[in-house]
Formats: sequence, C-alpha cells, structure tokens
Amino acid sequence: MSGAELNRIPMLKLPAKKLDTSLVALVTAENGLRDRVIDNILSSVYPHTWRTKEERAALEKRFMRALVAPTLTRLHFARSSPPKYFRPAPNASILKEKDDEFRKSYTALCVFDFATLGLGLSNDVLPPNGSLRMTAAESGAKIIDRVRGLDAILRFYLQYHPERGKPNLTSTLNIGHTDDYEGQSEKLYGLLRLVLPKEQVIHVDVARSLVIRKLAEGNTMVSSFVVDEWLRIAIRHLKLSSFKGPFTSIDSLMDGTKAIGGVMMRGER
Amino acid sequence: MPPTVRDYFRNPPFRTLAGSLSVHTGENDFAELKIHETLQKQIEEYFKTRPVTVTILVGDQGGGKTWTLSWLYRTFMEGQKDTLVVGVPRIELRGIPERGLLEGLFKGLKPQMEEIKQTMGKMEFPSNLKGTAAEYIWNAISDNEAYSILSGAGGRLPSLNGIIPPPMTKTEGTLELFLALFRFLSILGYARILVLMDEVESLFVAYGKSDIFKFTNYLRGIYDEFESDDGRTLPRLVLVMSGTYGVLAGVSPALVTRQIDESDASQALLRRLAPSFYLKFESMEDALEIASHRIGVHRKVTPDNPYIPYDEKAIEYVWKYNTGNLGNFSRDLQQMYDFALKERASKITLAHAKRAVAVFQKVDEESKS
Repeated sequence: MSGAELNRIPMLKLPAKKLDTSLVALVTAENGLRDRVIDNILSSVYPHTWRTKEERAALEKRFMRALVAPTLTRLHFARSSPPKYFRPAPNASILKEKDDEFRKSYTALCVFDFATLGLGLSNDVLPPNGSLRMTAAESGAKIIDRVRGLDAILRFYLQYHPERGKPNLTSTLNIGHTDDYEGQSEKLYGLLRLVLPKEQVIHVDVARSLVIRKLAEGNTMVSSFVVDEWLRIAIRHLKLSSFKGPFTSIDSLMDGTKAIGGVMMRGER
Repeated sequence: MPPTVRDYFRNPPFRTLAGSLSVHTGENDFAELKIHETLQKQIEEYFKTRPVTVTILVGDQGGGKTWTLSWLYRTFMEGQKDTLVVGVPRIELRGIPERGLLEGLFKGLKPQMEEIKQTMGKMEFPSNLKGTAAEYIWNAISDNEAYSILSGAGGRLPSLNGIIPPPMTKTEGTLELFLALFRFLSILGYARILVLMDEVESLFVAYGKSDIFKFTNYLRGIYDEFESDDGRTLPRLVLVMSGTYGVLAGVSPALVTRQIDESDASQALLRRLAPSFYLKFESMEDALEIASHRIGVHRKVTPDNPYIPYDEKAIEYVWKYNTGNLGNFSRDLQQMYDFALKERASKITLAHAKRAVAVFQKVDEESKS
C-alpha cells in the first residue's frame, strides 16, 4: 500500500477506549446542542470541573475540539455545525435506544466499514489479518503517526465485531452487506420505496438514517457506508433521483465526482 | 458515396447550454414532457385556489430549469388575456436582494411594455388610488428616467406629479413599490400574474445569513399582503423561483431534513411556501422523446429516406450514465454527433456513446483533481 493511499486515512486522536463513552455522551445530549454534548463529555468522558467561562472554553478546546469531535465526525457518528450544533449522524441514529452490547458491536461494524468502504482499505491491512501501523512502517514516521489512531480503534473494536470478532456476541443479529441485493435489485428498490418519503427531496443523511432505522427494527445492523452503496445502485438505475449539493462536504454521497446532497423517491404520477 | 451524419442534420441537434430565461429560449428545441404538463396544471390550480403562491422549482445544474421556465412563459402568455407573465432571468447581486427582485420585475415587464402602455392610453387612473404609490408607478411607466431607475439603472427616484416615491434602498420602500406595481397591473385588468425567477442560487452564494433572512422575510411580507387583500386590489400571484438543491437547503434546512435550527429564521416563510416542484427525468421514454424531438427539429427533411441516425442503445447508454441530467445528456449526445461527423460515419452507435461519455468522465475527473 502506497504512502499516498495511507495519507487519506484521517488522523484520529481519541483513544479507542474513549470512543464508546463519547458516543454515549453524543446520543444522550438534548436537542443536538453542542453545549449539551460538551457538558456530557466533561462529565463522563474526560471528567473535569471548571469555575469560569474561560476554563470551560479551554477544556472544550482540549477535549472536544481536539479529540472527540474530529473522531466522531470522521467516523460518521456525528455531524458538526458550529457554533451551535453537534448532532448524531446516521451511524449514531439507532444507538440511543440500544443496549451496551449492541452499541459496541454496531460501532465495530461502522469502524470496519469505514476502513473498507469509506477508505477503500483491503482486508489484508486490517485486523486480524494485518495492521495499518505495520503497513505504514515503510512510509515513515509521519504516516505511522497518521494511521495509529484508526489502527488502535480497529484493533480495540475487533473483539466486538459481529463477524470478524466473537460471532456468538450477536448471533441473533443480521449484518447488512453491500452485495445483499445483488441480483435482487427489486428487493432493494422495494425497501427504499418503503422507507423514503415519496416526491420529497430529503438530505442524504435523512435517507441513510431512515434505512438504518428500518433495518434495525428487523434486527439487521447496517452502517451508513453500506447504505451509501445501496443508494448509489438505486441512483445509477434511475430508481432514486439525486440532487447535487452546493459543495462537497463530509455528509455528501459521492457518486464518482458528483457530490450528492439530496435524494428523492419518485412517486407514481 | 454513402450518406454520413452531416447529411442528416441542418445544424447540430443538441445545444447544451440553456441561455437565459426569455420567451424565446428553447422555443423550437424544447421537448414538452409529462412532468411539464403536471407543473403547468399545478400552477393553474394555484391560480384557481390561492390568492398568492410562492413555490420553488428544484433541479440540478443542467436539469432544464431555465428551459422549463421559458416554456411556462410561452404557455401562459398564449393563454388567457387576463394573465401576465413576468420573467426575471436573475437578481442582480448588488445592494439588497429585495431591491434586486423589484428591479428584475420592472425589467421583466419590458417585453409587455407596449401592450401595457396601450391599455393605459385607453383608461383613466382610478380616483380612489390618487396620490398613492400605485399612481407613482402609473406615472413612472411613461417616464424614462423613473422607469430606468426602477429597472436597475441606479440613482434616486424622482418625484412625479407631486408624488414622492417610497425609498428603494429600504426594505419597506421596496415592498411598497412591489405592491404598488401589482395594484397598477390589477388596474390594467391583469387578474393573474405569473412571476418566473431564475438563477436564485446566486443569492444564496453571494449574500450572508442576515440578508437572506431579510429577503425570505420580505417574501413572507408579500405573501401576507396578497393574502389579506384577497383579490380586492391585488391580482392573483404565483411566484416560481427556480434553483438547485442548495436553494432548498438554503431557504431552510427543515425543507430537506427533519432538524430545525434555532437560527433557521425562515420558519415563518416555510409555512407559506407551496410544495416544491422537482424537475427530474427518469424514464427512458423521456430520454427518447427528448432525443427524437431534437433530432426531428434539426433533421433535413428527406421523406423518401426516413433514416434515424441514432441507435436507441446509444441514447439509453448516455441517459443512464448521466442519471437523468438533461444538460450532461445533451452534452454527451452532441459529442457523439461530433465524433460521427468527424469520422464521416453513417450512424451514431453505442461505441460513439461510450467514447463520448469517456471524454467527459476524464474531464470531470481532471477538474475534480
């Protein structure tokens, strides 16, 4: 794997063990207000007290802005719209109502899907087959420093992964894969027709969340990266209308060079 | 020598850029589809059932918005006599956006000016509106200086016949002039006014949140005035703004998500907006209809040799690749035509389509990198 490919891996500084508590802090905050998430972070993830506004701002910078926010946003667990909001992204949309075991398994699924589908990394460089850090060894200290965060998270979450780790953990759950609807595209369009509102443009994040939630009702866990693949199939086969966003952003659905901001399920005319 | 592509067409059949909104834009080339008919019926319904309608026509760049608006322009102009269509190709990006809208409206009246002046010549200004801003507009229409300022020439509006005009630099002044213009048009006998506003996304790029809020609040003010009047002094108004997904999300995130921002001040306008109309073409029938219409318009008439120089498979390939984007679809079809022309080919085939798509795929990737 070349240095350029490894260079695409985002630098994640949040320790792997803190990811779970950070997710809880995110999904239990009221109204997606950034201040509420920071309160939760400073009470449960990095417990600190403060006396003045300045002290709180310094803690926010040290923990929220440096560690928690970049990791949660890059892994598509949160969307940040400063200064006011820090909201759950589709991958965190079902975490609030689920138990610890599910949350950890689902988080593991999301981080591995992020590595394979989001970043296009091969399974050979991911645990348990390999390690990003070892792969980066030839590319120098700077690249090692870049990949070590994701590497640590992947290694830590391997044990919770429903397929790669201990299979008995979530034996009653189904896992969504990109090829689930191969040769059965009508079934996929049926699912999309069932969950997406007709004749209304919705932000791609809303579409992702609706699909994730619907499948979770039937005990199937699927990450937003897999849902993206399904949406792309439906768009390419003209079953789902797509609308280009005003600019490319972290929440865009990329289809080749096109950054899709909204989608619409066409109703019967 | 066998005939080549050149022998089948008078001129290149696929123009890829729309031009600006006008009554003649896309006049011969526009292929009227079911979706356009639905939009027309929807607007007719609005005229019948509501005193005022503000709606957004949403489509991608190259999605056919300008041509659709131009088609609506022609369709409604040819319709009932009491209907006036005002086309605003863009809002000039200087000063406050509401002033830009007002100036765009006055500029948009130019094609109908002769008819308006003829009607004015046949009647007296109603005495009950003497001294109002509506009388100012009546006078300004015949006054070159005042009309050019109202159309965007810049400067201070002069007093006319002792009437001091409302200030154009203030939001409340532009609202007064806006309503006065529509009262004036109502006096002339126009009961239904269709305003078509193109290129709205530039507003959302050029102006900050506070200006956009004032503008949406201005639209809300217009809505409320028309609704309270309920046809007594104002005509029925349908205002169609065309824009991309960015406009929809820019007017309010609540239009595309279920989240409402506290800072999302356009909530009040949202309640007044009619459902957006989405300009999207999905079916293969639409693609073939567009292609055959354009080919038909530009074909040399050879009744003894009714040859169709495009393979349907080629059209289908390009259509699917462009996921229904009309602009890119036309661009690729034109590229296919150019390839075939250069090679002196006798038919445009799937191979031409694949090569055309590959050219722009490369261009897209290069521009991205």
